Parts: sequence; structure tokens; C-alpha cells
Amino acid sequence: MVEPSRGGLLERIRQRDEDAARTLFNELHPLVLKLVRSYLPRRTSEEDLVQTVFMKIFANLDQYSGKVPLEHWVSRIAVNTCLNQLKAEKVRPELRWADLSDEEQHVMETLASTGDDLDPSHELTSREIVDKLLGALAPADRLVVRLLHLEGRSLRDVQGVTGWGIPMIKVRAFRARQKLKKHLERLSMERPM
Amino acid sequence: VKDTKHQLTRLLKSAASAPEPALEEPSLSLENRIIAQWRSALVSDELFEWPLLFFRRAFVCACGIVLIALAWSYHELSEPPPTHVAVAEYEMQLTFLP
Repeated sequence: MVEPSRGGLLERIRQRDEDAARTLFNELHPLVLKLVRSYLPRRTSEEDLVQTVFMKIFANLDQYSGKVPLEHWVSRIAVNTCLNQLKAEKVRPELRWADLSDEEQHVMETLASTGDDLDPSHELTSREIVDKLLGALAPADRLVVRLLHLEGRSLRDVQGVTGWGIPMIKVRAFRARQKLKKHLERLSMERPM
Repeated sequence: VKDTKHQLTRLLKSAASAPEPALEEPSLSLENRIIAQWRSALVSDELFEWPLLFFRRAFVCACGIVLIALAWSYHELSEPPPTHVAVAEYEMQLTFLP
């Protein structure tokens, strides 16, 4: 069911109330921006993609039945828009050792030389490395790794956002991890001894 | 392979712990652009609303008329035309009877 306050807001938007549309935009903007930033295809303007997502939200608002929370419905629109944009990207350059910054190379060396968890000071750099590694994966693989392993979402959540079945999510996640392992292996082999 | 798997797990774990970058407020220009686009979409919807409604109703009416015409034709064809039969019988009698 739609929350009562949200229901009233959506009804006002359907009645073409501009203030209500602005309120909804401001409420949903952080969620949409976060999703767009997570999946932002290269060479795509962040604002343009946010605008496209919001236009789809407003254009399809009549189809929102209220069976799922509005945030889930919006997330699905945002993720699908980003995936479609990513599909248009033909080239997914593989990450090379030389593409890594000094700090990233240091984290990779630490990763290979010790078996312990990485130091908290390396978290941001690790995130940058993972983002670069994900750039070489297909959009759907990228999405599933990001949702499951970086955002720590449950399989049910991923199902809600993507609309895929749970077995498909598991298979896709497994294959994506295999591909990431291969990329990591290749990077390690390029590492100067 | 096991080593790489372990490395990947640790890398993902560390990356997942990274703090999320702060999200800034939406710019007013973006908000205005989206609202303007929403309003222009509404205007174009209004523009096409009446013709669309008219053609939709006209199509439904046309389908109804076609169905009535088909039913009427079927009814007419399924009933034997008594006049034609009578004329044919009369002509046969004239031809074959002495």
C-alpha cells in the first residue's frame, strides 16, 4: 500500500500540481543520484541521466499501483535506465597494472603479500580499484556485484530492484565473481616483481 | 586460484566498508529543467488527449457496426429464400412435366 502522505502527494501530481512534483523530486533525488552515481556509464553526464530517470518516473506515475514501496519502483526505473545506457557502451577497456595509481598499486601489493584483511585506511582505494575492475564487466554483472557485495543487499532486495529471479541472480553473481577473479589474476601477473 | 579468490573477497570486503560519498542537494536548474519537461509533456498529452479519445471511440463504434452487419448478413444467408425456391420449382415443373 502507498503511505497516506505519499498517496496524497502522488494524487496531487496526477492533478498536475507543480509544488507536489517539486516535493517528490526533492524527496527522491538522493536515491536517484546515488543509483546513477553507482552505475554511471563513462562519458554520460550525471545530471542528464538523473533527468532521464525523473522524466520516466513522472511519465509512468499513473502506472504505479502502490503494491511495492515507491522507492523500490523508482530504483527499478533508475537501474533499468542506467543498464540501457550502459548497453550502449560497446567498449569496456580491461584494467592494466599501469592504469592503477601508486596508492592502488600499493593496495594490490598488500593484498597479494598478506592474507589479512586490508587496513581501514585502504577502504577508499579498494573501492576505486573495484570500480575500475567492474568497468570491464557487462552491465548486468556489474549491477549484481555492486548490489550484493558492495551494498550488502539481500537476494530478495536484488530481486526487487532488478526483477530477476533468485536463481538467475545467484548464477550471474557467480559468473561475475569468476570474471573479476580472472581480471585480478591478470593484474597480478602484470605486477612487476 | 584459491589465493585470487581470497584476494577478491578481501578487496570486495574492504571496498564495501568504504564510506559513501556525501550526496549534494539538487541544483535548482536541474529541478526547473525537470519540472519544465514534465509540464511540457502534460501539455502535449492534453493536445493529443481529445483526438485520441475521439479515434478510440470511433474505432469501437466502427467495430460494433461491422459486427452487426456481419450478424445480419449471416442471418440473411442462413434463411432459405422462399421466393427463389418457388420460382425454381415452378420452372422445373414446366420443363419436365408433359
